[in-house]
Amino acid sequence: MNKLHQLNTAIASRSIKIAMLAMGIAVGAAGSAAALPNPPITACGQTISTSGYYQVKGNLTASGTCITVAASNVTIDILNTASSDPCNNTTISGSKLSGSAGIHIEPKVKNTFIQGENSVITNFDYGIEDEGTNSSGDDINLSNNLTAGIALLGTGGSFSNFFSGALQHSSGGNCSLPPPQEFGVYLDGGSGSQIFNGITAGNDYGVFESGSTGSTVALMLSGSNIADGYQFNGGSKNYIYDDLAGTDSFIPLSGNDGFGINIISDTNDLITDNTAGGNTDYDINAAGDSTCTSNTYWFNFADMPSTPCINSK
Amino acid sequence: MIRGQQNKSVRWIAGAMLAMGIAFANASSAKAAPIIIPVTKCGTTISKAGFYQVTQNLSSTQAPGKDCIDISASNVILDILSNGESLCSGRLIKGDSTTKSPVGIHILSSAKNVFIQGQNSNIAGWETGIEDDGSYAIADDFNVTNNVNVGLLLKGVTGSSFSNFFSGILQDTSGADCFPVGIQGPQFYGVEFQNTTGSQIFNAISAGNGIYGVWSTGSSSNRISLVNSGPATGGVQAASFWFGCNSKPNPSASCSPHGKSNLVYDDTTTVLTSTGQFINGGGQFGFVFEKGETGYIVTDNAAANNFIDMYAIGDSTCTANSYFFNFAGFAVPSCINKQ
Repeated sequence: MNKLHQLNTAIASRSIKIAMLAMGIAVGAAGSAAALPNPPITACGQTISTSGYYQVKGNLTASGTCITVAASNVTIDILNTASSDPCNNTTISGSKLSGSAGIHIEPKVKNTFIQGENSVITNFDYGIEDEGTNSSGDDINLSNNLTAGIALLGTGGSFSNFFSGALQHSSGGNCSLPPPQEFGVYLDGGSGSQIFNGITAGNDYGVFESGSTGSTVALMLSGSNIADGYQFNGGSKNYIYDDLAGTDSFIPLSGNDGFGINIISDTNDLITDNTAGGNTDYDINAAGDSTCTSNTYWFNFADMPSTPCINSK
Repeated sequence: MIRGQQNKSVRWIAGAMLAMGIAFANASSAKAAPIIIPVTKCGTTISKAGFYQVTQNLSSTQAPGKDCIDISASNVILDILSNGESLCSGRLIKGDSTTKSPVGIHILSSAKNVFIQGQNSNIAGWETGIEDDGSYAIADDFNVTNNVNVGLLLKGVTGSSFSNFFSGILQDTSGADCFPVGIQGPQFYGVEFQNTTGSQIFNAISAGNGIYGVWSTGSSSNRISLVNSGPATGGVQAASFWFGCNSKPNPSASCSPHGKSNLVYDDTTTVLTSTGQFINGGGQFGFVFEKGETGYIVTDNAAANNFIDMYAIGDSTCTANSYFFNFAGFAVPSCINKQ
């Protein structure tokens, strides 16, 4: 539950980087040709079939899927042209075609790493569709995709430090027109996945789990969603901790219009150290589990839990 | 600390809820409400699955020469119940600062899927604060401070995850050490990955340790992310992050085994103190990657004001590991900062 810390950390990190850039230090040129063995990706429609480091340069536009990862041990670095307005960051944009993805990690692919550099992936069916194993993604914005900003469908995927939802201008107002994403993050059927230190806002559902096992949802902020901040439905043995659902005083999140955290039919989850307030329905809802026996709930801070045992043991 | 402000908002909410008389009602019951098993003294071994709760401060004087809590069973939840205080006054599991106090909380190799909820408690004065020899453990929201050797040790494990913790010299909001007398510091190492795979630490602070803030030796395919590691006020830390098998900073020494394929991202050598002060570097080394460490992805890290901020020993072309999108004031070689 260290929202302050995580924000301070992020702010401090960015401040350092900005200060260093302003001082003209540190951001030196590449010193090694060997470190850039692959040509940059400058257009959509690419399938990466050889392991290595790939750099995305410039704004890309796709009519279908933009980048498909078909080999293991691939690193994708989306070189961002930083802007004071996130809407003007480097953008990979689709055409809202059903089944399309900004980046699609295929099944049997292992150890993909995506460094987003705070770029934007928008207007696909899925911003990132991960069907692989042990993928990682960091520092990226998923905005106004149709079904999900991030879909974790494989095993052991880990995504952090991201925003998924309706990205806004620094001056306010959405970057893109509605409709909102259906899910900020969609965990479906996979196992051992995790998301942490991310924000979901302006989706139908911030985080939606359906049949995932042994996954971790930690240190997330989810608010201003049309339905639930988090919904867990059909999985088991998931770890849900240090999350915030609803209002937050540090970023302009309001309550979710449904439940803050909605545990529908998961079993044997551990749910602890979460904070929820300002949501339209219960802040934490244990559907049909008035005695808190289907899952283990303790040390939560919900203004309106569906049953008191959610907050304490 | 350094972590002083972290939990302020939630604690405030909790306090307000208590004041309003809501929220902390007892479980309404029942048929299968998990039984809470209190842990009230050191020298306890947890050998059955279940929900265990530390309900008071514990001391090594209750079991001299032994670990405070050993966990030998799988599927154990250990909840260290907050006393409502924070920082120096928080719940305390206290050793005597010698090797006669081996480990504060010890997850034995037989124990899988242990979950520890620290509730911002302090584990101090042990040879090792928390030692994980099991696998697939998760621990969150704790302070390992002023231990003798290591704050948090992951030893030969797979798939464990530790988050939202502080390891080093805990300080109060005036910048004074919490445990200046009786419990000595600094710890040699804030966090040590030893022959560990597929594990991670994230969203943590390691500050004021004697040798390394985070040390990875013989470990592979781990994630180190969103970790701030640097000196504490008036403290030292020879290296914030050290990847390699030398237990002390000696860049020219050879050793084995080496690690590979670790993911190091979003980390900094800046820490935010309990007094609201940013301490930006100041150690001998920020990030060090020994020769022989290979296959790493090192990205989106920031380091400044150390003698060498990022140092890839013997890797003049940055080919042993993949370095990109880093922000180091002084990097050797400079290709570490490649954009």
